[in-house]
This record gives sequence, C-alpha cells and structure tokens, in this order.
Amino acid sequence: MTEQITEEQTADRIEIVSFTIGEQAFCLDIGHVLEIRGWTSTTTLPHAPEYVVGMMNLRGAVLPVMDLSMRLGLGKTVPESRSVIIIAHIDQKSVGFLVDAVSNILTVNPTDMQPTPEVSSAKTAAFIKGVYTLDETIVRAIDVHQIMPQEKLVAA
Amino acid sequence: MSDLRDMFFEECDDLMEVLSTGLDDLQNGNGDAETINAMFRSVHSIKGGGGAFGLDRLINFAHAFENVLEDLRSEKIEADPGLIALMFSSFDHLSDLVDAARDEVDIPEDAGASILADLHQVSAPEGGAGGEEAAEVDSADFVPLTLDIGGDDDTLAPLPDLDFDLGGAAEDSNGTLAYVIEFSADPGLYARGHDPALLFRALADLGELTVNADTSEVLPLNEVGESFAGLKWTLELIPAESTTEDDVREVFEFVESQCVLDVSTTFVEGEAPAGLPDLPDLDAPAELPPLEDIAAPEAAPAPIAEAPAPVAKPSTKPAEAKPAAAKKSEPRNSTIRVDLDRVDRLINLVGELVISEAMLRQSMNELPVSANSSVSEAIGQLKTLSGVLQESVMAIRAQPVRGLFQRMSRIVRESSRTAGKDARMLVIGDSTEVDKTVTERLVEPLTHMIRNSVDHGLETAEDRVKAGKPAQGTIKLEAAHRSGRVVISLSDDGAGINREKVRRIAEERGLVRPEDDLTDSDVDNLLFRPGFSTADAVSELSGRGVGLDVVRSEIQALGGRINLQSEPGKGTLMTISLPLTLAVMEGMLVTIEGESLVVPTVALRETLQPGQANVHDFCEGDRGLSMNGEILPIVDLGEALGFRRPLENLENQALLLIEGESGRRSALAVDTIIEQREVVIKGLEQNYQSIPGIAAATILGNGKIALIVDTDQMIPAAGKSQLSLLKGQEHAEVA
Repeated sequence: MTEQITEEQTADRIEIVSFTIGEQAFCLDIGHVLEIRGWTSTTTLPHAPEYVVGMMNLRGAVLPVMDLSMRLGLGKTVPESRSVIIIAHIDQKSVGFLVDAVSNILTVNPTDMQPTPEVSSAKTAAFIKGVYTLDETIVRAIDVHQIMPQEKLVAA
Repeated sequence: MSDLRDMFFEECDDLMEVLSTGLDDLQNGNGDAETINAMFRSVHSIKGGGGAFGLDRLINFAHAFENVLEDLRSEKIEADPGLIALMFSSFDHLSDLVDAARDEVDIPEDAGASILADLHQVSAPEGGAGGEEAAEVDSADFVPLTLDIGGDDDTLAPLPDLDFDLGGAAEDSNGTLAYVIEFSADPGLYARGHDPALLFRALADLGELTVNADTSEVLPLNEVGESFAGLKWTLELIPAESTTEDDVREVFEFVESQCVLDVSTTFVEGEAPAGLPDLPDLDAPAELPPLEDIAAPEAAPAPIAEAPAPVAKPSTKPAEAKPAAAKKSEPRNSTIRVDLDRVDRLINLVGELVISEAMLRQSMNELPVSANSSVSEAIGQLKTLSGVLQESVMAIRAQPVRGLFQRMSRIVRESSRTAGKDARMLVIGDSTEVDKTVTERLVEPLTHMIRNSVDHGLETAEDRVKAGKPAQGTIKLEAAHRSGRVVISLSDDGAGINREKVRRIAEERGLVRPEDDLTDSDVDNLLFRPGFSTADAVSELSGRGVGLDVVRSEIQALGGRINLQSEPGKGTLMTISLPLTLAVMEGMLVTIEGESLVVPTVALRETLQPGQANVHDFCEGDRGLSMNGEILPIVDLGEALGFRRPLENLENQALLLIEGESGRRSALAVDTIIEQREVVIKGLEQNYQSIPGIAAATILGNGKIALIVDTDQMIPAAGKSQLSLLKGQEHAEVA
C-alpha cells in the first residue's frame, strides 16, 4: 500500500536535490542520490578526462569523483574542506559529483520543467535536460545519464 | 516449483560428474562393480528427475542407457572398448539432453537417434524389442522403479524432494498421491503437553485426512503408569494441491524428538500398494530417530493395523538400518549448496575486515604503545585470525578443476570426431583446486585452445604414422599449484607450429615486415595477435573469427598469463598461469609523485636501488638497464601513467624488474618502494571503466585508494614492428 502512495507521489510530484556550482543552481532527481559527503582526497587516475578528479573509497567501494563544474564547462573546481561530494547511483554505477554546496531538497512537479533555452551551447544542450523556476531562481536539471563518463571519451 | 527444477539440474551436474568419472575409470581399467553401480544410479536418478518434470526424451534416452548399464552390472555384457565408446557418446548425448531441458531449448529430433539405436542393440537380448521399451518408458512405469531402488541397500534415491513430484507425474494414470504417515508418541511428548489430536487437526488442514489408531499395544487402564504410551497411528493424507512433504513434516516439527515418525508416499486407487512395503525404507534413513527413542512402539511398515511385532523386532530393525543410513547420508551431508552471491558478499566483508585490521594496526603503530602490551598482543591475534578467516573464506569458493577437465574431455572427443582425427585426452592433477569463478571463466578459452590443438596441432593418422608417431594423438591437460598460482597446461604431440606459414601470413597482413628479425618465440606469439588465423579455410572447428587473441584477453582478464611453446614435429605446449583467487593478491607498494601504486608480485623479479643499477641513455630519452649482459628497457612508471614529465635522470629512482607473460622483461622506475603486502582487489569497471596501464585498485590501511599496475602493459614488446603496433593500439585507445 505504501508503495502505491509513493508511486502516486512520484507520478505528479518528485523530489530534487538542488546544489550550486559557482553562481548557478542545479538539481538532480533525489532517486539517484545515495548520500552527501564532505570532501575527501582522491587518488589520481592516469589517462582520465580532466573532469574525473580521481577515485574515492566509499566504505570499501571504489568509485570515481567527477568535477561537475569542469564537466559542465564552468571551469575547474579547486576542492576545499567545504566542498561537497554527492554520491549518486546512475545506470548501475556509483559516482561522486564534486559540487560547491548542496542547498535544498525540493518537491516539484515534473511537468513544471521548462525546456532548456535554445541559446544553449552544445554542452548545455547535452547535459541540461530542462529548468525549474523557483521563486526568483532558475534551477538547471542535470541529465544524469549524459553526464556520466562515456567510454569513448576517455583521455580524449 | 522452479526451485525444485533448479535443484534437479544442479543434481544433474553432480550426477553427470559421477558418470563421467565412472566412464574414465572404466576406460582406464580401474572400474569395478561399484563403479558401474554408481554410474547406474546416476543415470537412474537423472531419469527419475526427468520423469518428475515430464522430460520425455531425456527419460527415454536415460532408460536405454540405464538398461545397458544394468546389463553391464549383471554381467550380461562386458565393458569392451566398443561399449565404452558407445557409453561415452551416450554420456555426451545425455548431457546435451539435460542442457537442452535446463535451457528449455529443443534439439533436433534425430540427434542421438543412432546412439539410442546402438544402446537398444546392445541391451536388446534382455530388454526385448525397442517398441516394448518405449512403451515401458512412460512415467507410469516410473514409480515401481523408484520403489525398487529404495529396497536396494546400496542405493539412495538422491532427490528425496522429487519423489513427491514424481508421484505427481504419475497421478493421472496411477491414482492419487497420498502421504502415509506413521506416528507414535513417546511418553515425553505427552509430558510436554503436546496432543497428537492437535497435530492431526493441523494435518487435516493440508488435505483430506484419514486416521487409523492402532490400540493393540495400549495397556489396560489399571496398568498405565507415568509413562503412558503405546498408541500408534497410521494416517493417510491426500494432500491439497500445494502441499509438499515438507509441509507435512513441518506439522511435526516441534515434537520430532519425542515421537517416531515416518512419512512416505503412496497412491490410492492404484496398483502401487504392491511396492508399498518397501516404501518406509526409502525415507527411513533420514528420519530414523535415535535408538533409545525406539524402545517404545515402532512404526510398522504395513499401512494398516497389523499386529505389531514383539519389542525385540523394533530394536533390531533400526539397528540394521542405521549403518546403511550412515553410509548413505554421509556423502550427501558433507556439502551444501550456497548461492554464489552470498559467498561473494562474505568474501567482500572479509576483505573489508582485513583492510580495517590493517588500518587499526597502522594507527596503533603511531600510538605510544609498547610492543609487549596486551593491546599489541590482541592486535597480533586479530591479525592472525583475520588471516585465517580470509583463507577459510577463500577456500569456500575453491573447487577442483575436475568438472572443467571433464567438459574438456568431451570437447576432445567431439572435435576429434569432427576433424576426423584419432585423439585421446590425458588428464593430470584434476583434483587441483581453483576459485570457482576462475574455473567457470576458463571454459571458453580452454575449449577454444583444445579445438585449436585438435584442428591445427594434431596431424592426420597417416601423417603421424609416417612421422613415426602413434596413430592416435594425445592431448594432455594438466593442472598444478605452483608458488601461489595455478598453472594449467595444455599440450599436444602434434606437428608443432608451422613458423614459416605463420610468418608468411603475418607478412601478408602487414603485422611484420619481411626484413624483421624475429625469434622463434616471437613468431609463435604472433598467433596471439588479433584476427590471426593459420587455418587455410574456415573449418567447422576453428577459424570462426575468434582467434587466440580472444583467449589471451580472457586469460588476462582473470589476472593470468598465457605462454606458448612449440617444437616442430614434437608438438605444442600452452601454459596458463592464474591466480588462485580473484579477490586477493600479493603486491609491492610503491610511490610516484606522492601517489601510492601496487605492482603485482607475480610479475616482479627483482628490485634495484639507485646506484646499483647500470643505466644507459639512448636517443629520444629512452633508457636501458644492463643486467647480466642483457640490456632491458626502462619504463618510467610516472611518465607512462601521465603523472609527470620525463625525468632528467633516474639517480633517485628505485627500479623494479618485471617479467611479462611472454617472458619479456623491463624495469619500472618509481620514486620509492614501500613494502610487499597482500591487497584486496577492487575492480574499476564496476563504477568506472578500464584504464590503460591499470589492472584494478585496492584500499590501503589508511583508507586511501592505490591503483594496481597492469605490468604486462608496461613492457615494450620486442621487435620494432610489434612495438609500433602496440603503440598504434595505444593511440587507438586514446583517440
């Protein structure tokens, strides 16, 4: 019974985790988020794309940490103790996203998502699937499947 | 239901193994009466299970096979080479039928028809015409057979749970399945406040229940003392559809130790009662109560209130049955089937424990604790224990390569038949234990290698005789443990590699240039290059576009190495060296630019400190190390992995001398060597992807991740053309 309720909820309302990179606000569907952690140092990977910061140890699991800012073409993040890693589970893989700060958990209606403006760059078009307008701010919804490192992009 | 089915097929694997071992024994002349008995039982059990699931073709074939084995058992026929060959083909076909049934695929109608005909031929004198047999082999026939075997002291029906279903299959023709439950209570049962009536009521919920009480042993009321007993019941339950024997037994779960219980199956309104007296024996071994419990009334084998035998009989009968029970159940109880996932979880946990233990030890070292304190002592003990625990857990997954090798024997038989060559298989060391995952993943590469050996390696019988060799070729498969690894070697006594031809093909494909100077071993190793095939034409056996390069990459994926040696006219030897487990390995911890890395000890031959080494510069920044008159290439690991620019000089670097799978060596330059240690391997592909030059990762005592170097990728291949090709590959990977 509880399952049904959840389904109904997800049908018209979804929860999103919003976070910031620089001045911009982004969000992920909470269903992908496993946990949110503080910054820990990572192990550098050879022949990795620049946005792959390195590998981290999450209670025995080895997973890559991606600099989301770098991935979105917003410049390299210099991680500091206040930086945040969002651990997400996408397409059977676990990955950490390095972001500046997590701001909120919000309930939104998926139909409220507006298309990404047409002025978008190629990166924006590929990685942002739409935007939510909340009060004064615009929250960019990240297309998590696109944002994952693609096998052929390695060391490109 | 699907569980039962899975269980049946798992049993089949074991049974087929028994059968295969038996066949091998017969072939090698080691077979005795018990070998044939065991084979007979295996086929019979497979047939039994097949009957339960209505696998008609399987039953039909197994029945014919069984008849031959029966004749062999009763010494009506003899195990001559012809018969053994027929039995091998029968085994192969039976295994096909089992596989087909498991995967629910159809195999051609006529497949195995000739084998079946041969089997009928062999067993015809006794078994009568084929038609009669076919008629005999319907499921209806099956029940009496099971009962029959139940009476045989040597024979255990290995699928007790299937008996029920088996009855179910026979339901239509032979009446309705019913459980006959014989129950008598110990005084203790009443003393604990249990009431048989309540148990029977619970039983009545499971189906239609008939209760018969046997009061003949009940004492007159004035003689009843504290130990009131003597009542005995025979219950007959016609179960509701979903009721299983386990459900029935569950009713008695709480009183098990205070009663004598016997559950058996029968058919009402059928002809089954003829075999009924044997029934209790069928299940008795599992359910026999301890001897002392039987002093009281005994479960009479006859279903209805027959005058029970005097007390002396009950006590002797179980005593007789007991040794048999012990004998039968022992091999069954010695193993359990566990879902591999559970074992994996356990292995992962133990891996974590080992890491935590290392972390604890490391932080202890940083504390001002004396080495003799009780804390250090406890930590020392923890270390020992976690080591033993790790070893024991790993051992759970270890299994002998026998099953794998038996499958390979079959490949040899089949491929020699297809290729029209006479070959035999020689197996050595098949009790060598290897991690289950490793054996599973070896099936494909080994199959491919064996087909290659038969197809390309062995010559035709005429050519062999001409060359002064026996007409029958020999494929030898050998497994052995060697310094913490398992080495599996496959050799044939064929013609060896035709190096001229290999070279010619390699030149045609532009893999090497005519002027390249290649050693024999270089030429042999060309066979591992992608897409390389020496077959003149695509034959049925090999040359289907899958080359030895695939074999090699599969072996490498297992953390193994493959090596090829060939001697013209004498044969070819392929050696696979594998880690015993995929979870833990020994490595040398080094650092480069502050990053920790692990170099697998398997590849490591020597470590050299700066100063000791004799380094020479070559053009383009290449460097060589001269060792024992040989100059080895030096690879700066930091540069190779992109951690830093090429170093001006290597004076402050430590060198690790490594040897690759092909026997080539090179020296890896690193900043510092820390220590040798065991590491738990963590795959990178699970959450990321494969990384050139890196095999996997591990977690160090401080929780940091260290990458494990793929040493084989760090060895420049000798021979310029090969080196350039390797570089070409790297570029392709980078692009």
